Amino acid sequence: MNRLRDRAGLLAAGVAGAVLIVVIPAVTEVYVQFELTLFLIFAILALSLAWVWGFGGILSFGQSLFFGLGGYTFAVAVINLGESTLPVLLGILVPALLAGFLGYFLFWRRISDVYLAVITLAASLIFYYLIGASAGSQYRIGTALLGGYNGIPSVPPINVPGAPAQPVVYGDLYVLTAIVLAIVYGGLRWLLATDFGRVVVAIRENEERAQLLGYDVRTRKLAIFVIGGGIAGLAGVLFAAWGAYVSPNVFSMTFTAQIIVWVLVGGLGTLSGAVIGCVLVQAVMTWLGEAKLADTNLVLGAGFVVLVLFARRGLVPGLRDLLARIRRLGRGPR
Amino acid sequence: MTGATPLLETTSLTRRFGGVIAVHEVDFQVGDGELRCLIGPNGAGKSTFFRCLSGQLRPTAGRIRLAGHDITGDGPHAIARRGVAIKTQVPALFDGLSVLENVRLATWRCGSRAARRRRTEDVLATIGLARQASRPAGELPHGQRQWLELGLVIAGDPRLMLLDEPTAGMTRSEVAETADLVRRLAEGRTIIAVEHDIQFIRMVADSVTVFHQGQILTEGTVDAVLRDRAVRDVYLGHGRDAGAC
Repeated sequence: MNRLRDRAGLLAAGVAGAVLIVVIPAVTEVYVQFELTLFLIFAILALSLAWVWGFGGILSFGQSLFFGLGGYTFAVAVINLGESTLPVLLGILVPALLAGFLGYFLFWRRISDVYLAVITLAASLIFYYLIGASAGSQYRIGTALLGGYNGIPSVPPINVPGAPAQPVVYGDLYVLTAIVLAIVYGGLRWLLATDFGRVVVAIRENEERAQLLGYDVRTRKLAIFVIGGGIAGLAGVLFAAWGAYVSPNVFSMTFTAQIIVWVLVGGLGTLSGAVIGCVLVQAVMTWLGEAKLADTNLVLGAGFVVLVLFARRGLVPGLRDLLARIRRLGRGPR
Repeated sequence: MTGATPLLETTSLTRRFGGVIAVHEVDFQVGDGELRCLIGPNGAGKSTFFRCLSGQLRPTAGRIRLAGHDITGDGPHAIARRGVAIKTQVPALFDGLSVLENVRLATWRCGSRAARRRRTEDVLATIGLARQASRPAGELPHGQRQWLELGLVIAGDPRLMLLDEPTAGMTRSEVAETADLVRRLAEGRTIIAVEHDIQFIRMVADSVTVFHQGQILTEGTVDAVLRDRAVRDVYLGHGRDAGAC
């Protein structure tokens, strides 16, 4: 049954990937693709939290920190170097290293879940205020001015590796982002199917039992956190390249909470749920913002109430439960 | 004790919780291949003693040696890697995973995938849950949850098994089945079991250690210990019959 569900999920993911990478660029205008690119970037960020929280059991408010740091690292490096290959790699590596540094103290000191959430949130807010206080010409790294709350404008785009004159923008950036999303999603699915991934899930299910079986939970959690930090950093790189801009707002509490909401709406413990929840929430927010029909927060709040009442575990698990119930009804009483 | 060098030895092992001394300067030894039962009234310190041995609790003072190696203060995973496995009082399972997946996770020491698969099948057959392999562990009834946890304990082929109340909440027939299972598992292994059930103790134990107020009250064969006046006093109060222990 599980194998059948896995195959169905894989097929659905494959179809969704083909639609995203092949069909949408062929049938939509560039401005639509430009808008969709942002949704897909956020979906990559949502996947990082789905991995860290939904599978690793680590409630991290720090994904926005790694996202923002990825964006800032890319922006500073690409402004200085003028070519994006190394800055992209740095935008993944630096957040991953920070995740490793933070994770070492969190997991080796056996910080419990609630404190871990608070510490990661505090780290995010420290960066918010720290970067926010960097206005003025004295706050520069090389030729890149940090700009305080105004952020860094005019961030050069990602280019074809080794060819700064060939930028990847608009439709091309959309395709690149869709491919990155597919790779991250597929990579995480593959990772979950490995022995390492099985242990990750086991730790989420019962950390003490995993330890008593001989698994060093600290190293596994550190690995989960570093991978999640790197993915969030990659999303930050794409974000800075997409808008040619990055500001301390990416470290803000509002944005941090938003990532949690995406994952909860889609369904904790699923990868597809994070992508669906993120795209759905962002689409609704964008539409409400443009149409000005009602207050965005009010409508979203009402939506969450309905979700909690009818699909407590989120949309994807709720849908799975519904399908299973229909299947059982179809079989009839035995 | 059967061997000259004890497999497990504690020296003045102490564990405090604030002002309460749960385990107080316990000197304990168990030999290789022995099946020892720990008994004692509730609050005697048996489970705390076990949690110190498995690394779940760090002792306040004293030493723990396993086959001559000092393992005092080592974490649970490090102690597990030295071949100590524990069945906890309340079954600790991966509830969201299948029975098969639970056992498979415990076979990591077997090496190749094929060896792990074989070991998983063997363990499932031993604990009588082969037909429940695809069922989520969280859906098993209590008795089967206890057996599954026993399966997790034996899957890694440990040299020392710590069983904390393996028959808790079981029916009489389940207790007899569990005793039979533990007897079979004991071949070539060392087992220390905390138990209250006298039927189980009589069926499996080579010897018994009695805990009282965080200390060892007495040790000896099952019959000798159950005849001991001090043990009867601890369990039932002075001068009453110990037959219902």
